[in-house]
Amino acid sequence: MKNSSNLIINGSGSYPGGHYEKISIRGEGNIVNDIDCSIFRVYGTSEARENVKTRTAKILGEAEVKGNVEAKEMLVMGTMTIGGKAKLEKMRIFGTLEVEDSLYGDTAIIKGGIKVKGNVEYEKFDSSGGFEIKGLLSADTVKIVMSYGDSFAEEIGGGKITVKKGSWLIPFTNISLSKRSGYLDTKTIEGDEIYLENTKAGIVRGNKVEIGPGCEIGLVEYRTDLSHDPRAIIKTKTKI
Amino acid sequence: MSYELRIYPVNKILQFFFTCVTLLCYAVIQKGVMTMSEELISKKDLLELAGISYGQLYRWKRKDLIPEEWFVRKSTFTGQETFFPKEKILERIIKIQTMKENLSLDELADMFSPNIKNMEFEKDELIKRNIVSTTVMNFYMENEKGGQKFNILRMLEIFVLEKLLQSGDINLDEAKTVLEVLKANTQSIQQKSCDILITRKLGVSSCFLLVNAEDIYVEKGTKIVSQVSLMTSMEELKAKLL
Repeated sequence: MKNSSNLIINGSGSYPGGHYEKISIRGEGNIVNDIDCSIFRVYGTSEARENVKTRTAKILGEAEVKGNVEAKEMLVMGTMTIGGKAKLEKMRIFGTLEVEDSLYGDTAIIKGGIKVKGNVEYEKFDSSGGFEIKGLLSADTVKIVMSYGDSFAEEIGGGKITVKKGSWLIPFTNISLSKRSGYLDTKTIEGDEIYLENTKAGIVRGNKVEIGPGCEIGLVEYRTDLSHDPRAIIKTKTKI
Repeated sequence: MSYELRIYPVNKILQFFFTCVTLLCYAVIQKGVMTMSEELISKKDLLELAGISYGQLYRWKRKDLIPEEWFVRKSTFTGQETFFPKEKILERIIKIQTMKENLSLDELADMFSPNIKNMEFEKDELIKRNIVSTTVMNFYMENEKGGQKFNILRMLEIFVLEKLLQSGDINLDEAKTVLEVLKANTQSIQQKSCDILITRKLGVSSCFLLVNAEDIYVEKGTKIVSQVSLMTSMEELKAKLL
């Protein structure tokens, strides 16, 4: 990649893919083939018809990739849609991200929203926005703060799983920041250490389980400890 | 309250009965259609049996140490549950547990990826990659009389011979015995953790293959010339190949 150059689109245009050092799209850009670059920036609107591989990506506008995406670092402040698989090692989502297939990487920080049709696999998954995951959400540490709306995942599995409701408008009172505090809706949660608030789940399984206020759980299976808030609803509890 | 109490067990018994019948029918059908039916184990039982935690299981899944196909979803009366093919998963977990002390999870993932098992190398390629020396290669070809292509098993054999011969622990005659032992026990070598042990007493040497052995004790006057773990040799070999 000695003679890789930059691709800067100011205005509108359609370009072939290839190796680039930096791709910057300020107007409306179309990229027809695979691209491999070290910096990918979109301030306007972009569409990549095939795969994108990059070291860092920053999406402030709108980006659509029809194929797979691979990035070491990804920052989305605008909107991004990915038609295939996404490997985003370190991602920060302040806007929205939609992935048709699975999404995986190392650390995920979500303050906006994500919508994934497949599985989501991270080492550290930290969400204070919202998510809708049709598959399994799996991470070593899962931290979810329900600040705005509802979140949904078919299954959640991992080491340490913490779900908390959002912060208060006025500290030490029960007046929530939004009108109605959000709920996490999932079928199963499996982890070693689990703490839940505002969660509706069919089955919760873990070693140490703590059920906080606002929970509706069908079945809790625990190995060492179970403690629950009197305001939580648990239909059945079993110790394994 | 009493009404509820009375009705509940009946309900459960019925449910259980139906599940049994369904399962039986299913088993009968399966037997007819498929010759090989694998025994399945539920996730909960697996964790208990293997002594691992959810976190570990999910971590290994994330690292692709456990293939996605092994996660079999089935509906039970608590909802959907995940099952695993019992033998395969237990074997894999034991492997991961024994090897993870020396290797990182990423390295393990490479090792379990199927492409390496089907990898074949030419004779010259192995010499070029410094995996075997020309002398050992010639010795091996002379005694084994196989083709030019090396699969993973033959590579392991030659790699072990190379290690033993290069260290100067054994001579060529002993190397022949080692090769014979390795050839005769390919089945166990592939599946279990094995060690090659070479002893010498009063100038007479013998070669053993230890399968799942923890400790060995030899009589006085017998000298353990060399002990090589095939499992670690395999790891080293794979590391060199990748």
